[in-house]
Amino acid sequence: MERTYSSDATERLARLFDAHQERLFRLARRLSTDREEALDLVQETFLRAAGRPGSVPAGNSAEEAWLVRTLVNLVRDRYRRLSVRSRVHADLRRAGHGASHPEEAAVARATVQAALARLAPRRRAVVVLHELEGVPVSQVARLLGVSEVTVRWHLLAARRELAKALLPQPSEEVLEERRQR
Amino acid sequence: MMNEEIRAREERLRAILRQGDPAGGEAGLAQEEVRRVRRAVLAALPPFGEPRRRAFWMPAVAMTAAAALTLAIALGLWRAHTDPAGPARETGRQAVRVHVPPGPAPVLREAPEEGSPAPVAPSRESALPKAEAPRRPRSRGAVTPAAPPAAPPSLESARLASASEEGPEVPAVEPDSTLLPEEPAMRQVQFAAPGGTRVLWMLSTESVVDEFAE
Repeated sequence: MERTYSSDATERLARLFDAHQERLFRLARRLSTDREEALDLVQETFLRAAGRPGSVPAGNSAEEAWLVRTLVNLVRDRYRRLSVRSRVHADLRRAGHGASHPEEAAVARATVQAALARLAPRRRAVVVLHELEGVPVSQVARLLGVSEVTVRWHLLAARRELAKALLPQPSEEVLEERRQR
Repeated sequence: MMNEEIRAREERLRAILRQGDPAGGEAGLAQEEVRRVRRAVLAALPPFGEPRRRAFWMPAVAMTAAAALTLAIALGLWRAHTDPAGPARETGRQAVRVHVPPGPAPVLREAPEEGSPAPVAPSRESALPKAEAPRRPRSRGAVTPAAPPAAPPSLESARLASASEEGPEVPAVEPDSTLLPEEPAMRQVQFAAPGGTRVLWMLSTESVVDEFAE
């Protein structure tokens, strides 16, 4: 019986890993600052699943949701552990370093990464899933285990924050003109 | 018009985000990385199931072990009480273990012997030999070596002599062999230490001292 349990659990975990590792790494890469951190996050997520195989629900979409939630929670844990101030400074330094890079793509990537890093983990996860991966709001809500209203609220707030960092701010004249309208 | 502006702004923001997607230009995990992480994850699987499942049999094992231990202790005690060799050891000699602080030199004197070979009775204690001396510390294992039961005077002499060797202040008592009975008899020698400790030696010709020599 013990052997049966071990065999079943191993097979299930192997199947879980094979089915979701690629997608999870992509999400982790977008939620983390570098590749190594993303790899750590993926491994940690699957280790959580290995530690409590019974807590992973059955079914492909339910498994995916569980893994995504676990990953986002791990990102949140790491985010809390680090000092926000030092994190923002480091990201800004990285962005400044990227700006001097000759390639535009690298500049854009560093800038976006710095802007994303300023967001809280859950808000960042909402933006990444919806804006970068194109997941619908209802699906994002299911994956993160929150309501659709919460997802929309996070999207709205995140867009404001990202616009401040990424989009050129309108001049005073434009703002005045808008007010007059 | 305002909505269009907002929508256009959102589209522009989305385009910037996708252009700078951190995972956009990167390849996924390499095969070697996948294998390494997969191996680590599968190795982390608990061999006996989850902790919750383990908790089912662990209390049962603990209870069984405790019951077995209790049974073993009870059986050992019962056997110790029912063992016929057990009480025989007790009747041979009553050893008293006392701790006596250093004090003045002891005075050992032998009380006049009644000469009766009758067994010891509480009423006879006052008539038995009595000696006052500080007790030397004795251990349970320090028992008088085996002696033939046919020579009780020599046994007592040896015992008293050994006592005087360890404590030079204690004089050896030479019992009068003419007063000792020829039949199996029991003698008592009492010591009283300055601290009030009383030591009672019961010397019997029938005592099985060979068992103590083990």
